Amino acid sequence: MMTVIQCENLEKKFRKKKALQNITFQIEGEKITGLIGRNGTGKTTLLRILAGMTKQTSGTVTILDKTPFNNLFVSANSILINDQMQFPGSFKLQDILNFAPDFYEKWDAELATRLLQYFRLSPQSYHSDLSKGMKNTFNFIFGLATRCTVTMFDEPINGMDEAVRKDVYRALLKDYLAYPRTIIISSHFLDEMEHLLEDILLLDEGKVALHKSLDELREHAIGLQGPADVVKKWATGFEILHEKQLAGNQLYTVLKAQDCTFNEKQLLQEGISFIPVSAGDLCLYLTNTRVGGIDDVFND
Amino acid sequence: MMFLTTKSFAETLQAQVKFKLHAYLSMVVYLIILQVAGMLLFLLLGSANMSSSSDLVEMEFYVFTPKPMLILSSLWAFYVGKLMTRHDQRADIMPFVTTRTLSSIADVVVLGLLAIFTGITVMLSIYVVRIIVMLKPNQNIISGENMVNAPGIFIENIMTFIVFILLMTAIGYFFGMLTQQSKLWIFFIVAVSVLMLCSAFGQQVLLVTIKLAKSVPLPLLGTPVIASSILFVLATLLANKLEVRG
Repeated sequence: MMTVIQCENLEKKFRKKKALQNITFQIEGEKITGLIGRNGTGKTTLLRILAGMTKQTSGTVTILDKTPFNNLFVSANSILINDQMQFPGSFKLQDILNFAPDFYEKWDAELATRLLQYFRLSPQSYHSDLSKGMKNTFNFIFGLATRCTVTMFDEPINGMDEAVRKDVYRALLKDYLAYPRTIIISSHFLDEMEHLLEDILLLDEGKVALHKSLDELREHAIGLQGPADVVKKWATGFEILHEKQLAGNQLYTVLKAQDCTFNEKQLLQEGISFIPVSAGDLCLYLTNTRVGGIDDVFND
Repeated sequence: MMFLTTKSFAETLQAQVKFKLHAYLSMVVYLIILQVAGMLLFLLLGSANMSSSSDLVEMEFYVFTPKPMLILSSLWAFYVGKLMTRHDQRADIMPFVTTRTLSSIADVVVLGLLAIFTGITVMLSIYVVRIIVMLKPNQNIISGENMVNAPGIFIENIMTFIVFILLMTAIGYFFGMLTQQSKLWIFFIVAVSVLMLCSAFGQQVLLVTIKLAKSVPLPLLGTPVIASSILFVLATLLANKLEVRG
C-alpha cells in the first residue's frame, strides 16, 4: 500500500511557542482519517504544513513522496478546505466553479452544480456575502468536487445546522466510496462523524497522543459503573483515564483496556456494569489535563 | 489505484494569469475612472497657457501634456502592485493549484499586462482630449505629433508610458513584499529616504547613482526595464519565504 502522508519528528515553532513537536505518523492508502484534538493542539498547523501552506521548523514531511512546501505536484494533488478559505471578492460562486477545472484535472463540475442546487446556494451569490454555514457548505462542495488524491478538511462543518451536517457527511461518504482517496477531517464533532472514519489521529498539546484505527480505539478503554468502593477495588492496578462521581455513591471509571481481564459475571454480581466508551469520549479523556470536572468549579 | 495529476508549470501559470486578470478586473474599472478624472483635469487646467491679443484678435494658447493622467495612472500602478502582495490577495489563489513562486510570477505577468493596457490607454486618452478640444467652438489644434504623421514617436511614447507604469508596479510590488515580511521596513524606507534627501551625503549618493545610470550604455528604456526586473525578481524571492495563513 502506498504511503500517502509521512511525518517524522515534525516540529513547528511560532516564535518560542512550540505548536507541534515530535509528530511522527504515516497514512497509507485511501482512507478517511479523523484528526482530533482540543482547541489549540496544533490540528490546523499540521494540516497547513501538509497542504504546503506553512513550512515546518524541523523534521520531515512528505505527501505522495514529495515535500509539500512550495511544490506544484503536491498542490495539484491535494487541497485543504477550511473556514478561512477565501476567493476574490469579485467572484460569484459560478465564477469560482468555472475556474476550478483549469486547476483541477479531476474536477467534477456536475457534482458541484448538483450539490450547489441541493444545498440551495445560488451560483450568482458572492462567496463573501454567504453566512458562515453557507460559506463552509460551499467550501466543502469545492473540496469534494476537486477529487484531489489528498483532501483535507479543517473543521468543515462549523456553522452548519444539523440537517446540513448530516447531508454533508453522507455526501462525503458516497463520494468517497465512488472515488476512494485519502481524506483527513479535523473536527470537534467526533461522535457525529465516527461512522465515516477508519483512523483516528489524536493530537494533544502538539504531540501525537494516539494514531489507531477506530476499531482499535474502541478496544482501547472500558467503562465501569457501580458502587464507588467496589469500582475502586476493581480498578486498582489499572490506568484510570477518567473518573466521575455519580449520584447515589455511584462511580463511573474509564480504564485503559490493555491487560484488562475481568470476570464479567462476578462484576455483574457486585453491581458493576460495563459501559461502552465512545471514541469521542475516549479522545476527550485522553486529552484531558484538568483535575476534576466543571461541576467541581461550582462545588464549595 | 491512485490517479495522480501532473500539472506543468506553464499550464498552471496560464490558468493563474487568467484567474488573476479576472480577479483584478475591478482594478481596471478604477483605472478608467482615474483616467477620466485625469482627462477632466487635463481639459480644465492644461499644463500651461499663454495669451496674446491685439485690437481685434485675441488668442489663447494651451499646452496639453498627459502628465495628470500619467501621474494618476502611476499612483494606480503603485497601488495595484502593492495590493497584490497583501495577505488576503495572496490567500485568494490558495484554494487553487499554486506555489509561491508560480503565484508571484503570475502576479508579474498580470502587472505587465496591466502596464501595457495602462500605457496604451494613457496614450489614447490624449486623442480623446484632442477630439473634445476640436469639438469646442473657436478652438483648434495647432500642432502635435500623432499616430498618422509620426508613428515612430507615437510608438516610442507608448513604450515609455508602459515602461514607466511597469516600473511603478514593480516598486509597489517590491515595497508590498517587503512590508509583508515586516512592517518595520516601512519605517526603514521612509527614514532612509528622508536621510538621503536631507543630508549632503545622501544627495551626493543620489547624484552619483543617477550619473552612473545615465552612463550605462543602454537604450533609454533599458534602465527602468532592468530596475523593474530586479525588483520583480527580489519580490519573487521574498514571496518564496512567505507563509500564507489560511
